[in-house]
Amino acid sequence: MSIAKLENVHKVYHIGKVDFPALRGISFSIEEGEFLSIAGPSGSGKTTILNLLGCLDKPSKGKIFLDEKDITALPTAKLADVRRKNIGFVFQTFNLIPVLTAMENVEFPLILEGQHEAKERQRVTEDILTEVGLKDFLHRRPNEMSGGQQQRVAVARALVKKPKLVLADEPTANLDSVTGEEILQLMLELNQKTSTTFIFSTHDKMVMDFARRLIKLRDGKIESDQKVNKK
Amino acid sequence: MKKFIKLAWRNIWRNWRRTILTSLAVAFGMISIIFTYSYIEGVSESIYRTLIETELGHVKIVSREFLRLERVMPREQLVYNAQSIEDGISSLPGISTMTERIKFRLILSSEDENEPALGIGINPEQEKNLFDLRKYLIQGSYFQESPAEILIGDGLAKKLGVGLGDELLAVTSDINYSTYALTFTVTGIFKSGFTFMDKNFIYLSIEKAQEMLDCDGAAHEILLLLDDAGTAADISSEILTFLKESGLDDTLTAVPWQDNFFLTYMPLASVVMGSILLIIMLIAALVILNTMLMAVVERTHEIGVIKSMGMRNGGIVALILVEATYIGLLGVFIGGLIGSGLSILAQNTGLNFTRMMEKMEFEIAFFSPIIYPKFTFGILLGAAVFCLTTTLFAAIYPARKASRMEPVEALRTSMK
Amino acid sequence: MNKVALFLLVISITLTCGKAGEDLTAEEILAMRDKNMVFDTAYSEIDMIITIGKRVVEKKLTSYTEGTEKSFIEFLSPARDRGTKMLKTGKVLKIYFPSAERVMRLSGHMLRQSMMGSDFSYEDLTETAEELRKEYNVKLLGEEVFAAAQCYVLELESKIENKTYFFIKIWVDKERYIGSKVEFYAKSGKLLKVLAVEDIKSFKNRYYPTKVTMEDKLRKNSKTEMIIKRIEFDILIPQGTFTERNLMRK
Repeated sequence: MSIAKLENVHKVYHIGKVDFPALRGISFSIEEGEFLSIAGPSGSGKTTILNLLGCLDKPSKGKIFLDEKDITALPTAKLADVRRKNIGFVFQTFNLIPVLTAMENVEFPLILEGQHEAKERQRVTEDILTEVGLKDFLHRRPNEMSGGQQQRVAVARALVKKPKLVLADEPTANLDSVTGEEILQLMLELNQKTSTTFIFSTHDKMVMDFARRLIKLRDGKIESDQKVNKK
Repeated sequence: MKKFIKLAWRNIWRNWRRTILTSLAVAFGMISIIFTYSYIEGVSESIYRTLIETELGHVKIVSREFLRLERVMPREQLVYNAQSIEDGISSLPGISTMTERIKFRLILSSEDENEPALGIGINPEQEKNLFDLRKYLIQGSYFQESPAEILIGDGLAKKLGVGLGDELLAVTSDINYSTYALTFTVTGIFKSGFTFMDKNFIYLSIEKAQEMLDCDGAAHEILLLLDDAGTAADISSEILTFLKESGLDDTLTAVPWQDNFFLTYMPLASVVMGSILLIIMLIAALVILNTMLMAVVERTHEIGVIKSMGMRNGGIVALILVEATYIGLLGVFIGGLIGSGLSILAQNTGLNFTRMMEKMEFEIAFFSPIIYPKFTFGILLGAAVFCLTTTLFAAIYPARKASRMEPVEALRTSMK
Repeated sequence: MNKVALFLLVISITLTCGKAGEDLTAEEILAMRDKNMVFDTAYSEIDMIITIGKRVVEKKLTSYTEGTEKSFIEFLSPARDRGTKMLKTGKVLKIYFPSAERVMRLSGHMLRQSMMGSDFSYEDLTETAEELRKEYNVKLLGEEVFAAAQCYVLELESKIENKTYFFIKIWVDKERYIGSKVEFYAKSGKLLKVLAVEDIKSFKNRYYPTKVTMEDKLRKNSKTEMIIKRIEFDILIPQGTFTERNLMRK
């Protein structure tokens, strides 16, 4: 079944008096458990698609479904609820909260959800940080960790609440290639283990190679959409 | 809110200098409020006490005309049957002292100088229960048996160039507009600290005052001291009833101390000081507003991240308000400590305005030159509530501004 | 007492009208009034009636005057005032009080006090016509009818800052050169006192006001009338009248 679907989505940004069309009629559907890469040169609309799927932005035209529900017209507060429950983000610049430790950063989405006991929260948090290989860094602050470690924390933070969809906007752009590959490897493992759906944007050939499905964009339109079979 | 307690606490220490500075602004407001209100409290208490001792008693029995023309002091407006009235009301419960006074203007004449003065004829024995002049005597002694004794304010003594044992000629116009004079011997010099009193007052025995005014057995006022000042209004109305029923003198009235017009201005002083404090708090509020706004703008990106994690706008508002509350509490704590400390210190040592008052052209009748502020926990509590409220109000705008940021825009803003 | 009235700057006498009034200057009018006030000595018996609201108090006194500098007053009644004596020499006033058997010397600002409970101040009694002409600028405002007589209206403005009466307005009778009404003002323009001549008698060689009323506008419903019951001019005054010893004589 489709976990997310875009139907003829247009997005126009107004920059001063000039209208800048970022997306011009995008339609595709994503199945649960996919590991999908959206690729294209900068300005092709990758980030816009992720923002729309992440309920951070609204389309100018067209419809977006998450879990077969139309979220296009939801009010801001409801969109926040959708994000909180269903979507995890991984950012290019990691975006950890600088005043919180690794553990507290990962715990934060659970606190926002407000459905776990403190002990339960800590157990879940510790588990996932162990899983991303940071067992010994639980109490480090972001500025005491390397970029790769920070991004691992970010991945853990995105996954801790078991979202339906993890959106990663150029997750390796600020990492060296070895570390970038390690992160992608980690995400792929988690994708296979938890069957969480991953969508990441990139313009890096190496990253595209990790994808199980590759959508290429050019000038706000889909240039190609193909499955990639790997062992 | 509970969710943000830790996050907010850590956030305010990200820029600790700014946080300390901001909380100091709150602390400054706190200190100002506590000190000012302790001061006002001290001043009013001192004024109340002095007025009761020197002017009002707890209840004053006086002719309506004398009361109405208090500043002119019409000497013929007398309580003629003071003794019968005192006998009549002595059965009322709660009266601890009754004393009579005669007040009249006179001219004092020494060998070299003449000065106008205010003469107060008193019954020395009863008077000291209400207003104990003995505590202010700097030379000589309180009334002994000799009838021609006079106690004089040190300022007046200086103007007249007289000292202990010197003779003074006192001249006044009596109740029939005849001019009458007597000589007195200065047997005591007092310095009450109330400039007006020290420069203008003399005390003499009521018998001599009656002789000067030609009004044997009469007085201008009967002053009562009560066991409980709070019962003044009740006792006054009982006395009024007695005066009416006994038919002794229908020109008289009984006035509780609370009715004094001067006292009704005391709340006004609080209002005036309050508006000055409001300005101080407005400045503190602007500092808080500015700080929180800076904090919000600096953290635009981070707020975007938190929003992307699904925090609602209300959550953002709450987070910023909790941060402001921390800063406010910090300021309240520091300011409360310093403000209370200063007030208590001043309460014990007193603030001496003697020099300033001596230079003043005009004289405030009952403003003691040494003020003892009076600190109460009510003041501390009120100041704390007011400062915290102000802090929260000042933080509302930055908080709303933060909450209204579009997450996409916020995320696009690059990190520092 | 004629001296008292004289010092009040109010009362002036003239024997002749001299030249016709039309072209007189303000200074000349004042000078004529003052010149005609001069006499060597006088003795008078006076009733002073003080009215305050509904109360009326009557005092009797006698007065000896010599020139403009010396006068001696003795109160005869009521009982509490009897024996109180006043000696004026120049700008100094001495008062003897029998009850205290003491003399009080008044000068300076103390002279502004009410004299014996009346609407007059001691200063009103001690200021002389010469001082008035020295200390004030005078100008003629015009003419007006007052109490059925044509009068010059003079305005005097003090040359000194802290004068009790900064402005004085005098209505001078054109016929007899008597100041028949005087108004005293503070610098602020507030009316302080009003003096009016209510009766003028003709004597051997002069007119003299025998009833004047002073109203202190700062006292409510108050006025003081001075009625001269008897006056003799140019009499022989006993030796030692204007001495402190006479003041203290029982």
